[in-house]
Amino acid sequence: MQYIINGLSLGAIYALFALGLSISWAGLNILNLAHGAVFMAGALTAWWLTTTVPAVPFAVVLVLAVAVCAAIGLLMELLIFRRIRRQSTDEGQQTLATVIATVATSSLLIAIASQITRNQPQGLPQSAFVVESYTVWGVRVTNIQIIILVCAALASWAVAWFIKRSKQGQALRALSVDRDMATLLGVSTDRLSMATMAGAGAMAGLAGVLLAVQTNAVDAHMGEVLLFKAFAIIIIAGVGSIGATVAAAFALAMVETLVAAYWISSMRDVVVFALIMGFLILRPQGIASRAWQRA
Amino acid sequence: MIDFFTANAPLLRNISVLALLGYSVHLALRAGVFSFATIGFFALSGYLSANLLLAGWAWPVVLALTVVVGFILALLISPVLTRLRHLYLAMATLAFTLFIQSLAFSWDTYTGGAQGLFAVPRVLPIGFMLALVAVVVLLTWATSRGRLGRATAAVRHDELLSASLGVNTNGNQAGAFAASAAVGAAAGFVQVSTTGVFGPENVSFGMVVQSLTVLVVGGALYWAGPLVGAVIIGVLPLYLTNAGNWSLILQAVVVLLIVVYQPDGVIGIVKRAVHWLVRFVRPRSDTSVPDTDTVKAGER
Repeated sequence: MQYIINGLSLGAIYALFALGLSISWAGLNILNLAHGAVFMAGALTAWWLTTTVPAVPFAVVLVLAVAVCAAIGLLMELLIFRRIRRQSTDEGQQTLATVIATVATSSLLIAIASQITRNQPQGLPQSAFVVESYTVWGVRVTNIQIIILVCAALASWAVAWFIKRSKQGQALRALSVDRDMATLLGVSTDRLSMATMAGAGAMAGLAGVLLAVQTNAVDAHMGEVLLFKAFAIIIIAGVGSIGATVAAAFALAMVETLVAAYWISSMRDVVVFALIMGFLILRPQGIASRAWQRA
Repeated sequence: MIDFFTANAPLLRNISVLALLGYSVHLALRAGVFSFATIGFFALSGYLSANLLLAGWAWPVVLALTVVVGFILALLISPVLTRLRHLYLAMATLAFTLFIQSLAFSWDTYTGGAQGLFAVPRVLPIGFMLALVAVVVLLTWATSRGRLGRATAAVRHDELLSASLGVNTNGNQAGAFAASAAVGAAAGFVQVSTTGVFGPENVSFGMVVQSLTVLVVGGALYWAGPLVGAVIIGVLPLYLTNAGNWSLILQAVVVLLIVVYQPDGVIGIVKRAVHWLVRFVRPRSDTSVPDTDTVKAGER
């Protein structure tokens, strides 16, 4: 039972992280390999704020860190993706250039973070967030786990609403089906990309702060592991399907927690990699294949 | 001449490893397989050769073995990869590398965990190292032309069309991926047998960026691109004395600038400059230069 609670909060983090990656891929055809670095930037902002300004309330830290990450996403779109889109005519070449650019951005953010943290893992100060634990029916639940679950639920509901119901979301879906046609019909790729990248960045930042508080550790390389997990989730769920992504995130977290608990903990990643390869062989389109997505 | 080699051994070693990594990515990319798996094979072979060398094996045997292991492993994975395209491919290959990274940390009886392996005998003579790089460059050049070179370029450009013209696209891409893995494995061997250490920092995201930097700076699709890139990136740190994180930051910025503004890399810039000079000297000759990827394929 305790494992289920731990798995749930881990799954919520995975869901927050994977959703942003999945949507920018499906809608904009951008595989943002810097997503892990943006996640780390959120955690780092929280660490920096709480150590330099000790008395700042947690809600302010959360909002500011999310804002920083949204800004990073926005800047990536404005300074890099937009320019690459303008310059290349060939779709394949554009995809390649964008992926390489995200890898470079990731490395840039990680190198800056290493410089700031002096290559050491850092812990948040005790006063930053007071962890209280409650015991309900013999199960230990901490307040941060509740916050994580609520945040994840709210964020995935907001994303689902945006994609399914809002006009902009409709435009994003149109863009993912046929970019040229959608543009002809008056969809602005530039505006949508800005909104999507900022939103994806904000969700990565939120996940970063929450995980940093839960594990009380900030490290320049903390995003790389999560990127690997997010790949598995996206492959299992299928690119761009929101419900399936959330479900896959919780399922993967559960499997990992159980493997670590009842088997060997270092077998976790072997299981994850086996899942990736298995799904790529048997069902590369994921479990929700008829969602709006690119092949 | 010998003095020059021994005096600049660290520099030459750096350039060689970078060049091999660059060629590993290039060989796959040439056939339209965008592969991040290079660093995975690099690390796999690095740890394997470190263990074998520590156990006292002769280095030619170790080199041959790691290259063959990389090649066969790549052939085993390739049925999965050749079904994928573009972003799925990039993601699957990066997942492979991240998986190897996670193994490097958790399987510490074999890999030395976070400390890595050290005090491996540094057995590879510098002449052999340079010869190895030369062989890879020559093979890349040789396969970039002729029937195989044209078929590869066609697969990169349009898989469906080249299949309809009788090119074995899956076989071509699988071969390219396996060759890429073999060269990546060779890079891992060179790294271990010249520096004597191998650790998790050799499997990091930073390493993936280095291999891409080499490729992008030189010019991703020119056969000489990785060599030019490796020389530039290898020599650069000499002028950045207190490097550390700053050289990583600089590298990332350079890659971003090149990808956004000069997708053809240094060779592309030089070619354009030469073309412009020729036009400048002979203003009348209004030769139109074929610009598309397929037409250029023969030159690359």
